[in-house]
Amino acid sequence: MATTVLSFDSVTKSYGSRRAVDELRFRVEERSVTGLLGANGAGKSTAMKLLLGLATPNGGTITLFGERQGTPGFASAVRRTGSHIELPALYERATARQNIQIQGAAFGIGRRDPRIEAVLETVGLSSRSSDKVKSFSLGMRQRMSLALALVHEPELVVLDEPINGLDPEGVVEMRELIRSLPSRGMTALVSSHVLDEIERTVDQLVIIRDGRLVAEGPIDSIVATTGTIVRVPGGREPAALAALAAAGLAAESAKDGSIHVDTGPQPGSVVSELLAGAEVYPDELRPRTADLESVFLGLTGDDQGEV
Amino acid sequence: MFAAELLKVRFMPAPRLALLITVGLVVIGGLLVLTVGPAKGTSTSWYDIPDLIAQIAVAIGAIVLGAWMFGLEFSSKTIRLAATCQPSRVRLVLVKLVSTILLLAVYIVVTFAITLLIEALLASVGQVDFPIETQVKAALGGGIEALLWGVLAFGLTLLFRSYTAGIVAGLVLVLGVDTGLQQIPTVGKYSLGSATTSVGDAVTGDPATLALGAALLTVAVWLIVVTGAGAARFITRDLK
Repeated sequence: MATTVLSFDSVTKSYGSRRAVDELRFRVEERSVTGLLGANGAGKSTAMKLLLGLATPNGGTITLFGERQGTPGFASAVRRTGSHIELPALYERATARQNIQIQGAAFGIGRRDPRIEAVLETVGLSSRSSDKVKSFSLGMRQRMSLALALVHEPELVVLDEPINGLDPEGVVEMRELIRSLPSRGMTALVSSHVLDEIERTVDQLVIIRDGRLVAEGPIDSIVATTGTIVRVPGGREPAALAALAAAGLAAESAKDGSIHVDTGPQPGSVVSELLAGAEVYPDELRPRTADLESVFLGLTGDDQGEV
Repeated sequence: MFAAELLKVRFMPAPRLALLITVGLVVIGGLLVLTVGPAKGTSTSWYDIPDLIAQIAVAIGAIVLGAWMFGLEFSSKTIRLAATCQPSRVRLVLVKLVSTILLLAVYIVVTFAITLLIEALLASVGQVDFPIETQVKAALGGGIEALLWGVLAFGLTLLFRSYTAGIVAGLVLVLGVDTGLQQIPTVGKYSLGSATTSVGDAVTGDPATLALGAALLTVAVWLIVVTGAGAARFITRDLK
């Protein structure tokens, strides 16, 4: 059984009268890559700041590496993380190598430790290591920020929008790098606006809306369990809809003549059983699969497509 | 954590620039005196101008450097990075405070050492006596005052969470508010400027407005109130 690295239990954080995080609960298992999804203002960055001790919750419990927030051991637990929150924050007048040396020194890593050059190599900045970061593009800053998060080989890497500003090649490299973290003994918690990229990068998902959890689990299960598509013989649609409605399942007719059934957590076979009970024998019955974008929009009710 | 702070001092230009500008001003003052000689018809000696420049420049430089250690993190928005490297905010404040005091001490000692050398050189050129003991005492007194101003700027930067605001508030407090307070009878003795001068005077053996104990207590209260308020705000509030 996987060890829980991080857990949020009914965590609430308010700014004035606005609840940025509202009774939020989720878990991050060891050596997983977990995606934190939510629309703008859903509370993703606030949740990340809370777990890093940068903000204090108003209620609930955050447990990191077994240490509860608010206890003396929590600070030590935070030092076992590496993070990049919102825009990359760097010492502009120092070089890339000097930035990493400063970060490394905070964790007892010497200036000439091989990990300094190794992490520059990992993020593809070896050739620019002697350049001041004030001359760097946003993409290079993102890579630098990732290097700062990784240099001390943390057990949990927290990345907020890590692919912002990266070119297509950089996006692929970042994806491969994040996916490689579990094999290096690390766990990753990643938020991103780019759903397609999240779908390719993570294996666990936490979806939040207005600071509350709306879905959590392996990405395959969240994307696959959206329901069932049924096609019944002509004239039998009303009977099928009535049988499904009587069982409490949400069903609606689609333009192509099929019926879309939201089965929730129940298996698709429950649809065929209900229809058989109503003497409706479908011509076609298949799982309704959807891409992450449609699942996300369905769960969060964000029909603008902006996340 | 100290190693990281020392690397910041080494890698960032601000500490070196502060030292170079301060020493540069003293050197320019020295060259000016060397070129035109001391002001005629006054009691100004060959070494007075560099001494005056050093006293003023070090006080301002100390405020800039006192604000720098946290100001750097606020202005470059790396404060969250620093706070995750050292998640204990109390420890972070203490590490930065000790680093700031060390930085200020080096800056002040190096500047006054160079200033004294320049002053001695000018006295030699002008063929006048150089009262080394008096000048060292003056440097010591000025250095102690500058150090205290620097610590005050450290607290103000934490309070306002801004490098610029820390420097501006420090200068306003030193040049404006405190100077005004000193003009008020009785109360003026307990202004930070008056108290720090008294501490400097007591150390150098000069007559002081306040006794050393009272002066130290006054300075401590000022620093604890300002730095304590800044630290308390930083420790208890969220870092957005």
